[in-house]
Amino acid sequence: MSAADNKGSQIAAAMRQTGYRRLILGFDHHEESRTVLSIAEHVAATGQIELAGIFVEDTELFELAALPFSTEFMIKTRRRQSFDLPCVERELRTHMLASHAALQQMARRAHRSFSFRTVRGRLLRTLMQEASAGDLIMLRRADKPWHTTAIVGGHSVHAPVLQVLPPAVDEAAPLAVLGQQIAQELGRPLIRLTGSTAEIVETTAREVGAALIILPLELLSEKPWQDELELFAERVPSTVLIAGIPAQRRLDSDMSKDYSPA
Amino acid sequence: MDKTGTHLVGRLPADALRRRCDPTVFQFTSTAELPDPEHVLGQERAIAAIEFGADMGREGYNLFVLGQTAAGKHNLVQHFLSERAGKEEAPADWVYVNNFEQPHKPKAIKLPTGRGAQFRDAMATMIDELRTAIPAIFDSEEYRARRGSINEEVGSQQELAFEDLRKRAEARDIRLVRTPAGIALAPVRDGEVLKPDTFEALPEITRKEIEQDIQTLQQELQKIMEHMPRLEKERRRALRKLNQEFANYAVKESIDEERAAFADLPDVLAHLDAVQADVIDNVHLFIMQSELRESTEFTGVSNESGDGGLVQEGSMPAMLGSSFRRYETNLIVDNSDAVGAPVVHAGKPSLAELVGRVEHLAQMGALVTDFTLIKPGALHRANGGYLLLDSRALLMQPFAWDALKRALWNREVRIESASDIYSLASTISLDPEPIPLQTKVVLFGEPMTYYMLSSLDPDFQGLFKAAAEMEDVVDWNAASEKAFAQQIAAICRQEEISHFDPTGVAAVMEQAARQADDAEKLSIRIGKISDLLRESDYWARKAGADLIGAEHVEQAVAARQQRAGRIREKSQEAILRDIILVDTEGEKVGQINGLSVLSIGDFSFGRPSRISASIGMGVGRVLDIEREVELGGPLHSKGVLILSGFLRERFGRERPLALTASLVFEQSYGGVDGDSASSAELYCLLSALAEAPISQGFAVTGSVNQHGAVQAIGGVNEKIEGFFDICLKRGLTGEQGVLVPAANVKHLMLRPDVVDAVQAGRFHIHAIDTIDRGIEILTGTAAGEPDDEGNYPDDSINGRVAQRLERFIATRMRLEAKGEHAGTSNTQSGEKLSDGRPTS
Repeated sequence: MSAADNKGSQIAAAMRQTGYRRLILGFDHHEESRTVLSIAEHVAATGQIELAGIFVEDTELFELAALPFSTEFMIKTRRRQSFDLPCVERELRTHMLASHAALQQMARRAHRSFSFRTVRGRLLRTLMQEASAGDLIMLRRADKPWHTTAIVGGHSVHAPVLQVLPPAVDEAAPLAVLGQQIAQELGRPLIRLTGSTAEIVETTAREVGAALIILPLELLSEKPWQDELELFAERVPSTVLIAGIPAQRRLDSDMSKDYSPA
Repeated sequence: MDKTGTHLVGRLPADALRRRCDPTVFQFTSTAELPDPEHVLGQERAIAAIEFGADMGREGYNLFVLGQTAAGKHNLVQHFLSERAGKEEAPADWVYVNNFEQPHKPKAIKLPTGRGAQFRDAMATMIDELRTAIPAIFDSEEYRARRGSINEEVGSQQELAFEDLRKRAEARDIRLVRTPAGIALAPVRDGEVLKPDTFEALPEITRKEIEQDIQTLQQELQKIMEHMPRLEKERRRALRKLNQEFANYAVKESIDEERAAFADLPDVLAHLDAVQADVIDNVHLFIMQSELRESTEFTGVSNESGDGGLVQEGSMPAMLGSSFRRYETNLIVDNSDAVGAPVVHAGKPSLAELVGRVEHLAQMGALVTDFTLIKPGALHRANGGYLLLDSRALLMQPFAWDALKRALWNREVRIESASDIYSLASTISLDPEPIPLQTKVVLFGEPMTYYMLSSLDPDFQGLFKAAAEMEDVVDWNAASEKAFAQQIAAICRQEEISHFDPTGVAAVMEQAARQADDAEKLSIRIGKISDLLRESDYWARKAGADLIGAEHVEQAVAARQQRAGRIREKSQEAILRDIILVDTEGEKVGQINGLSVLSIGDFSFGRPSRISASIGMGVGRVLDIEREVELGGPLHSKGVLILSGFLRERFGRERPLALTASLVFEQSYGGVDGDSASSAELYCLLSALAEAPISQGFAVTGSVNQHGAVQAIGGVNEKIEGFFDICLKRGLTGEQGVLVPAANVKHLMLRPDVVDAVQAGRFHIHAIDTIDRGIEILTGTAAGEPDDEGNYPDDSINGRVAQRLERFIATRMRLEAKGEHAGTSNTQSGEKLSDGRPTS
């Protein structure tokens, strides 16, 4: 087992210990969103974790497409084209199918069952709405391996785990324990922020080169975060793990209509 | 028995029919006691020529060794050269390496003996090391940090540009939105993109402002997007420079080590320089193979980082493995184990075997090749030494002879194929650098091949100036007997066969004389002698004998005759059953037994044939029926013309010959050539003219000249034995025999049973020097000597012939006088009596 595999299993072990049973993976029209599969595979293969993929069709895109002057600037070709509804639907479908195929392949390799749904909404909000007790949400925007070092101030450092805790949470709380165990297992320093805003978390994450940001679901449900949620999701450069309420018992297997066994 | 000149004439005694080798002259009991001969028997001339050819270092002094089959050419040369080459220096090694600038023209590098393998192994080890060292250095913290910095810097510049735009957009309530394929600008209210109905509900002026703002920002966005490629280019350039710096660091140490090891070889150093430059330019090959192994991180996800192409999805490891072939070394000539100069014998000298070839691999329906698939030819392997080729085998291979000449003229080996020569293929294939050639070529062949090449190929004499001609025979004397015995001993040791006792040696020697067809010579065609020794050994072992004696040799000879004698037996059977008519008793006018030799493969036997003559009045024409029906070859026709000349000289000097005669080999349907039957034909004609019967108990062989002298012929032993066998099978009468030319007495090596029969007076061999002597024996009538006026006694053969011819003349003149000359059946219409010259 490689070092990366080992870390994945450790994360899985930490997750089981703290009562989390299902991993919701968030995909959208960002190509980098599929990079979450690389860490998710390790977790899924080594832990008894179920997988649920949710592709979120950002409603803002539809609204933008409906405006009369919308123009899309293509990154790769630097062309510009009219951004209309058929265009949005076509492009979103392409990303959705790619995400589904990628998750299917990963689940096959990891010998895990998975589910996959498409929902229209805003990314983080939708994922949070889909989560229930025992679920962890994971999404990603980074374009480099999650386990490598970070360049901070021109120096190579071990990318830390950045954990954000709600105010007045004690260290025995499952979320705190999860963060500590994950950091310990990864051999990374743990940086804790308490009650921070999205901007602060994003800025801190960039500065320290955080490999993983662990956020509490309840914090994200609060007003300051709600205003910044989708922007945060769009801009954050790390893997984001959102922890909800841990499960007290095993979850039912009836998750969604798109059940695809491994 | 008389002696005329140096020849015995008359009835021959038994001891003149076969020369015996006396075993008592040998001072050994077994050939095992004898040393090997100092020199190969009888080949002093050839050995001197071979030595000269091998020594002569000048251009064009390649060797052609000519001799009959089984003369021992190959063994002689191989033995000579092996000894000599063993004392010479082993030649250099040769390798082919990739030409990085022109991959289709691989480079040849010469290395000192034994260092070719060293170089090849060193390169392989070095590349293996680099395959680990380069990925390691590109995985180092330092490299990652520096690469990260470059990416960060460019990324930062890009981000700054977008950030700046984002802020200005936000100031106008416009946001940069990431779309599925790019970026768009969207008006926002309360942090959310403006919904279409909300937008429509806005005052027109506001809508226009928003549109205007978006348009302005789009133009700025356009500029940023257009600027990104330049940033990307700078980033790639910086990364490339970084990669080269690190690659150089990784490569230099390994290559410097090899530079030190091969510091004395400038060509190798030049190649190492080229390898270093190429590795640095293609460092991604080394990294890709390492990245692919660790790329599970990116499973199913495309990661086009654009940083010098470090990672590519979908690369095939097999193709990467083949990319390192460019650094391999193809060792085509390895002399590390060689002792002395090479002596190479090319068994099948095809073009590819001679000059080498470039092999191809089939990959996905196409034929691909590279320098590693170059294969050496015999010329490569023999470079610096000797190449032995069979000329007939060489000439039979398409393009091989021309290629060899080209190589020798140009003093280089260039690998080319038949399709190259014919320009059949227009695709780019390999054109390896030719290798300088310094080799001595030795061709083996029969004399006919040598003479043919000399006369028909203008290049031949310029390239093969040294010819070594093998002897077939050696004089039989005491010295050669001793050497021959030693040669037998050497062959016995070489072939691991039993040794011979003196009687066995003597028997072999007599057989060698028989093979030479000459009682004064010994055949030294080693191949045939060796065959006899092996077969004698077989019979000796079968008999459980320790040593091979005369009886085993005789058994071997008899067994071989038996094995090959089927056709001979059929031929004899036909005669004995009177299917082919040959008389061996009685006497007949105008009929005689001639003798011929039939050769079937390696086996020859003699056979009697009836020759008959018929005569009539005519204009002096002797008709050769064989020639008329195109069954007679030119030599046979010449013989008939010669006997016509004899008649003219003896009987037609003063008066024309009014004769027409025809001669034929009865029951012969297969063609006749040679003039060895011309004396028999003449006897037959004289018998017919003189009406003197010829004893059918005799057979005759010998050619005749216009003066009536009987001349030597070939195959005298087989001819005598052929007639003897018929007479023996019918029962010897004591009155039978063969007339042979006196000049052939020295060639007689007859079978012991023939000699015994002659000794017992049951068969006779007569040596004849003139026609007159022969006709007397055959007819029992004196030939007759001319008087001063040239007239012969009436009762002599010559006299009777002359009288007959006179009668022909008289009759003809009488008929011509009456005007009836055209009525004769033997003349063509309108022919006149001539001076005796035959018309045909």
